[in-house]
Amino acid sequence: MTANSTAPDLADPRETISDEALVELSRRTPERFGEIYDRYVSEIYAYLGRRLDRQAADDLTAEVFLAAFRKRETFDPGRGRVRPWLYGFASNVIAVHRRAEARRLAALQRSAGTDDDREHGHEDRVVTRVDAGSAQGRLAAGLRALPDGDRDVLLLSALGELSHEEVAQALDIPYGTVGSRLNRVRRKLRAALGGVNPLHGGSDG
Amino acid sequence: MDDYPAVRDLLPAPSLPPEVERAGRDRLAAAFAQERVRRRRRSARWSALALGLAGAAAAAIVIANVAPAGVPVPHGAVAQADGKRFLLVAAASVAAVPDEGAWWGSTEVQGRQFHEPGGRYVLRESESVETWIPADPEGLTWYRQTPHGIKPATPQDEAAWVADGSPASWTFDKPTEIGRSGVVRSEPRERLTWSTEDWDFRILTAGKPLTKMNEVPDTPEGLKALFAADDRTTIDTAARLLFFAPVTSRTRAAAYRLLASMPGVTAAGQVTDVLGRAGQAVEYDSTEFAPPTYRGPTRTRLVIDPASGSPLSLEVRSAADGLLLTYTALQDSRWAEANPLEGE
Repeated sequence: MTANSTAPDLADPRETISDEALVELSRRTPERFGEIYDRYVSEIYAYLGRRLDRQAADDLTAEVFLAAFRKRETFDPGRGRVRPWLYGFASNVIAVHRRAEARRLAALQRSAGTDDDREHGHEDRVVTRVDAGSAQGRLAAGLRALPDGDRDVLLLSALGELSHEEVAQALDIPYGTVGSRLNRVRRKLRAALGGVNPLHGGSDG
Repeated sequence: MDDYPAVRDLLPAPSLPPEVERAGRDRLAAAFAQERVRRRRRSARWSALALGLAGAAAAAIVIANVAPAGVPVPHGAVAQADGKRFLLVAAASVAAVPDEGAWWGSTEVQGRQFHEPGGRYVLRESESVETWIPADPEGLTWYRQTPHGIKPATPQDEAAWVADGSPASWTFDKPTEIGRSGVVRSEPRERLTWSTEDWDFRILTAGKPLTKMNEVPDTPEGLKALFAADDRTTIDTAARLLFFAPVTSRTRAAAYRLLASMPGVTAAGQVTDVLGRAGQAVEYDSTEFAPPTYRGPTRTRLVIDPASGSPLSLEVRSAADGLLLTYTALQDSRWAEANPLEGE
């Protein structure tokens, strides 16, 4: 016992209840799912905001939790933990908003270029200028050029900080696929950051 | 330049605006409420007998097939004591109440109480729930839930809340008595009105659906046989039937008589209910009404107005300190020809 003897009972199992136990409890007591929301809403919001934009995150964060809540019966603790499971729903939501993601990356690509680029604004025109843009512009272009599945793997890993195993769980793809996609994608991005045109980088893309 | 830090720099994380967090919580809360309705129906189908009922947050009238194990029910010399005679008066009163109509409408206040994180005062969260159950078995049941937000429970609690700086939200690192945790805000959520077809309030018994409410027995013996349950569940079911179900006045009278005859039901005398109304009360140890997240023993009180035969409130308290945990207070229940929520 610490000096803070008036603190709540630290041995209380409810205090350190696992995410997985909460989802299990929520099957009978839906309100318990609210604790999952409390634990992860900031993180999921941030992830949606990074991949889409702030407005989309405002609109879609609740969708992720509603979808997960409605599918809570299918959560299988034998297949992984709650956090990557939630990122799976976030990935599904992003998948139906690919255009928003593409717009965001195009905008980043433009804003990283010169003012002239922004004024003219035609995406195809900008793409031809990728090499002339900054490292950020090249990175945005590289991300934009990735196949959707590769981008999902990369950003769950880089932004969500999910392990390979967790990425596999979130996207429901084989573990081995995660590693091979990441290797391929990171090679492309490093090339982009190094100044090589990412659209032509990598021999196995 | 490493790729991961570059990606993170390119796509900076926005921070969550409080209003977005709150809107999401409200949407989830609405989903929870609807889920309860859906689940009640499933329970009804699976259990040996179920009486369906009422508000968005109330639980189903479900008779479990299995009696709870190892739960001592006090058997009592008090079973027919004078203190419970008011139940027979209520039975006589309610038997005379007209029970014709196309809709069974009720308005109730549901509430739950818990200590603020520092334990200095008690908060009460409540909402009004208006329910319209159709006599037509094919019809939709309508609900309107009007949240009242969270307020200090009593004037003393209010004084302690003011002394605390009148906070509008509280952060619970540890779940409250009724299982709330995280940030809890005082402001009411939005009002919701919805209808659902998956609300078969009729009674299923041993797989036999009773399609008319007047098929429910109207004698205490008949109800007891229909419930076919242990004593505690029989009491719970009689109480649910009285408070929530669209049954005939004769069946209500039978439910009062059944309550009067059950061991484990003790007289609590003249009381004031949670809305401040005078009534007579009985108490028992409920299985169904105790909040599932509360771990200690509880005591359930049924407050009745013997003169009208109307149930007033169903209140669950902690047996340890008497804290009111949850309640349902019926403000009105009636048969009517029209449902005001429909077509609004």
